[in-house]
Amino acid sequence: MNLDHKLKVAVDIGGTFTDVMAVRGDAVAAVKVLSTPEDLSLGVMSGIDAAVSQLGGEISEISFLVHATTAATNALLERRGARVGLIVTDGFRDILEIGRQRRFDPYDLERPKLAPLIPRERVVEIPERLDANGDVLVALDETAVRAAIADLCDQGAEAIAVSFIHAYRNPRHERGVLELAGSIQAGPETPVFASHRIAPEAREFERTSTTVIAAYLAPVVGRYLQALSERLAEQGAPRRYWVMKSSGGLFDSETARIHPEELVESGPAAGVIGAALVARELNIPDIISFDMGGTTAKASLINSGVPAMNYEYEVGGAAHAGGFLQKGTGYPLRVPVIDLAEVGTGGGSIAWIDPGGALRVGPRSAGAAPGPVCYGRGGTEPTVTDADLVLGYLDEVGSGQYLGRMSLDAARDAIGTRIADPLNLSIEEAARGIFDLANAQMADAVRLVSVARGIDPRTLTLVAFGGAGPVHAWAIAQQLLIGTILIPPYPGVYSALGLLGADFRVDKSRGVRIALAAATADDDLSRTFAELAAQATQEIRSQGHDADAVEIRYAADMRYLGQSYEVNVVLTDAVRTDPTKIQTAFHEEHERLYGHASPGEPVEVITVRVSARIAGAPPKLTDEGPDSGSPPSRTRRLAFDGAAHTTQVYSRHDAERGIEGPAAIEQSDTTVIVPPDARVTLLHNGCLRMALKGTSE
Amino acid sequence: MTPDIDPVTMQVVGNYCRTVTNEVEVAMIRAAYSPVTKEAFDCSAGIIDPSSEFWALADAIPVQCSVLATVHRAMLENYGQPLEPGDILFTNDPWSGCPHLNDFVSIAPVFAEDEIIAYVGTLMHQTDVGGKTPGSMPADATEIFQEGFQVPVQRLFTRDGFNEPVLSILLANSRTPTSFRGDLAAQVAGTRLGIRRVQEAVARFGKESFVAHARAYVDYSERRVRDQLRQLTPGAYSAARHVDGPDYDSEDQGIAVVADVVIGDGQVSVDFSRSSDQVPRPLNCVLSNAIAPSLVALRCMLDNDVPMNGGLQRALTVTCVPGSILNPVLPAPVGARAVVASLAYDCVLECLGQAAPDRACATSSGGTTMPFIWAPQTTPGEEPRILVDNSLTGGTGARSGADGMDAVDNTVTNAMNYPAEMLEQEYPAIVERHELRDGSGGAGQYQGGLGLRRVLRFLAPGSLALRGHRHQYPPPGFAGGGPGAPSRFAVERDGVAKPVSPQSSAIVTEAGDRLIAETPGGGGFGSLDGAKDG
Repeated sequence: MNLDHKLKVAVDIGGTFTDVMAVRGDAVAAVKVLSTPEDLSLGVMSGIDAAVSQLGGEISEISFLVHATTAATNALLERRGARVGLIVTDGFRDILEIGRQRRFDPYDLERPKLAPLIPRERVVEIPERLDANGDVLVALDETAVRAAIADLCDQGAEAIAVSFIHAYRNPRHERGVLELAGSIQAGPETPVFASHRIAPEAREFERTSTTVIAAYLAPVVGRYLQALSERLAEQGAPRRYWVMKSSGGLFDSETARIHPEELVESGPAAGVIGAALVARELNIPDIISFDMGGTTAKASLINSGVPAMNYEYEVGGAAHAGGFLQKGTGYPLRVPVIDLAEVGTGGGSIAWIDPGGALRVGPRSAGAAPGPVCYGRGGTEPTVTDADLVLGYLDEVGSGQYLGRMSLDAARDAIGTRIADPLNLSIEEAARGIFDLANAQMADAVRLVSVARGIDPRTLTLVAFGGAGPVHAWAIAQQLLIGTILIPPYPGVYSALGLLGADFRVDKSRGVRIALAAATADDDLSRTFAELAAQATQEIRSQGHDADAVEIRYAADMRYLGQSYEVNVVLTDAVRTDPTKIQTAFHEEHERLYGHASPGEPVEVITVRVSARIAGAPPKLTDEGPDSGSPPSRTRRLAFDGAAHTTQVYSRHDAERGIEGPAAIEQSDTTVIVPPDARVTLLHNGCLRMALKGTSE
Repeated sequence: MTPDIDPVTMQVVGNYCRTVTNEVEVAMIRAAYSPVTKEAFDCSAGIIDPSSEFWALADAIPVQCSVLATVHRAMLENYGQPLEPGDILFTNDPWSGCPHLNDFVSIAPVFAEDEIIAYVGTLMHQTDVGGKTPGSMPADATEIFQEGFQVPVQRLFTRDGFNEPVLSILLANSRTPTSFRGDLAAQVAGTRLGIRRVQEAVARFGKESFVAHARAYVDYSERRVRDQLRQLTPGAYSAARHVDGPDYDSEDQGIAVVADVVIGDGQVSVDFSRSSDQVPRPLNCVLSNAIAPSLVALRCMLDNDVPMNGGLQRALTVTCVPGSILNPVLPAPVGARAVVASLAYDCVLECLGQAAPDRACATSSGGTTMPFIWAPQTTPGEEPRILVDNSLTGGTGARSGADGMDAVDNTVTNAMNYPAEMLEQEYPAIVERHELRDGSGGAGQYQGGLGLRRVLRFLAPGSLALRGHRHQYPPPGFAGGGPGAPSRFAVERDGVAKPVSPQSSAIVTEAGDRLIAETPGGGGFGSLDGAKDG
């Protein structure tokens, strides 16, 4: 019996649906409503209302609300951000135009570079210069700064970004701009974002890009977050709520307004955090979270309950898709982002035959409208979901209650005429091909975050969610020799659950250059750690938390002297204070990642990272889980290994006694497919655990 | 397609091979030492059939990737002995197809049940391989021996580790032995990862099935290429490019790259026979580097989803006369061969554009084929730190319906620039300007992309080498469009900027001197009044 009677609500906005979960004590309500792109807060409020009502509560009783939002992502991708002016060091006015000079696809003559978020005429150069040690070569020209601010305001700038060369080493000149801006602004205030505050790390284009993104998003995202605050307050709920950052940590809605650059992967992060909670609760060392939706599938590695981080994220390029080689083609964002590999394969991905006669799946998706052929909403091109239905993995009546009845005949027709006939295959063979190809593409995403990082998938557990994840997880696991799959309760709205249990978190970083061979325990490095820890603690405390509960984690980006690529190494307290141990930790990580290390070589620290966290309070779910009652039919025919098997269909609760594959388990928001020789059990926390053939129980 | 080939497994295996080459590429970049690899990504990887056709290439530097298959064949022939599991062969031998002496190619067998089913190949630019100037690319080289040492194929790595006696000879002849060893180790690390990945796939699909499907994917590419070539207007097309002299006002030496292209039934033949004889300048481009740009140009004319593998090469024949600038023989120097390779690409692309006018475009700047090298003075006994700056690219050519792109890598290369903040941490120099060069794009209905201006101030004395081009013959326009601006290089001392020859080595620089480099804009498309006069 859960005695926590506070009403807690989580809201996750996706492209099509807004998922809401409300929890009070043991009672859980999960709701999916359509998103309302014209004013997202409308859909959010109606979802909250529905979920809270299911628990017999009122919005005014909400004590804790957490939100994952696409407001920042959409503003960026749809280019609806603010009019921003940029102030840079003399000689660098074209920094955004030039970027890193790489093109997305070297064989594509037509694809243009991503257009900068700020046109050239709103970038102003200022005479000033620091060297790599932060020493002043050219003093800040204050007259020029005043003129630049006036000029940008005249041009209608709603926000100003300032990014000077080597400001990560010495913020003096950027601070000068902040002070001057504060002293001369007479009319409505134009916020100024300085690079040393947003992303104090070396590499000028990446730092500038991050700062510009913050300035670009702040007015737009700020208005949305503010609107939601007001709607909540109108109905008697607290004005302050919590927002999921790309790092998987939470910060309060007020801080979010001034750091919108932290929100770009807010939604996907929530699901990964949910998977991490499962891993922690069940004490599983390494898991892969696998989230399959309508248009994409995402995979992420979680080590000892902690998701892997990416510090080199790019928006709008392909670098986030594990495509390191497409680096330099998107808008870099130097904030911690949960390391996700994403592929354009989902339930709605369209199957087609290319001019060379090869079967292809995606990247085009039928989306929610018109949707797969079997939905009967006007779709004519066969999709992965249609193949799932033909193979018996989904059921015309029993699956996908949000979607209504599906038409097997329509799916068979589409696959028959568009895929099977041209390839001279049976409809079943064609459907199997679509299923296999989609799985291979999604397995690539999983491979990118596991084998590509030197991790043996056989030691991993796959945590599958998203509407289609539990349908496909078994096949992906078989391909990668993963032995165990976990299906959390409510896999269809799982991201919302992750929100409720996430940690509160503040991240700080600083670019330095410290040679470890010469370092002693009380020098630059430990001073930097201490300063950042104090800042982070102070910030998280200012969000209304009890400072006693703050946990500080340390990491450093290091390299061999002369290498120019850094490796991020997490440093425990025992290691952090001893430069020799820090070097050893680096050698070990280098060896693990790249297969070799040079223990004799000098090592230097390039970026110091500190995060302050306060542990979240995940809701305690029992093994009740969602009950969809008895499935409409007790058997159906599923295709495995090239033949159709008459297969038992179960409801989730049947797993209490154990379920032997082949089987299908129907629940309100998904179908779990269990292949032959696999066995499913129900765990105390409501997860289904599937052990695949040839693996130990 | 043979009956036991299943189109789904074919896609899966084909995509898998490409994923693996990219993993190898990333592993090399992450583990390498020299900035030219780390910041600029100057390396490549591929998986190669025992018959020397490539199955997959990494999404890396196009012109590098494409030489791997040629070098593979030559290495195996020259080595001539059976290979053991764990062996990795290395060479930088241009006469085997290595682009220039800095580029070390490795190949390693992938064994499955005592049989070699494939090879993993890598290529990495090594910072210094001896020769007369730091960085091993002297612009005034007249024969290859001034560019460094040649390493015929060697079994440089075995299951027991490096072949230290041979390695010691290599390292002893490099100015930068520490990073050289580290970068070779990065190639080894990438190679071993690639071998492991291919073997994992063999375990999953079975040896015969894996190999058959990998080959079927090459057949599939071939079908796609031939189908698309049949949509071009068949015929004979020609294009030519002048090769710049060493200076702005050099007499026209009549050095030219000429391509005669015939497009027949699903086949392209490229004949460079009318190109000039080899020259006593480092512009000579070995045969593999005449094939590679042709292949890259062909790939650029195809739909984006045609897999880049040996299937493309089957639809292409390239002819070059031995002793010519596109198939030189000893003792031709080859250090700056990328200059001529980029011109060869321009010629072939222009010919293909004549056959497919909707895809035609004006000429681009030539990508990052014009690095400069600066070696700050060292005290005797000190290992120098050599700056190889690959940040100089220019604008792309305009095409029908679109202006060219500003300051982006193009044609046969795809590197990243060197951030000022990273460069200044490593070398005693200040990047004073890195900006667009206004007015440098070729005029036209659609304007060529802008080139760059990069200004470096040196804080210590040193030695500078330039490898510029397009200073006499800037990128031409198309269909009546004007040319981009030519490149310009100057060294400024005491407030006075003096032009320096774009192809010069061992320029003595004092502390306080500035290098001012201006790169070409792309050519324009269509005449300014809007009428395309073709």
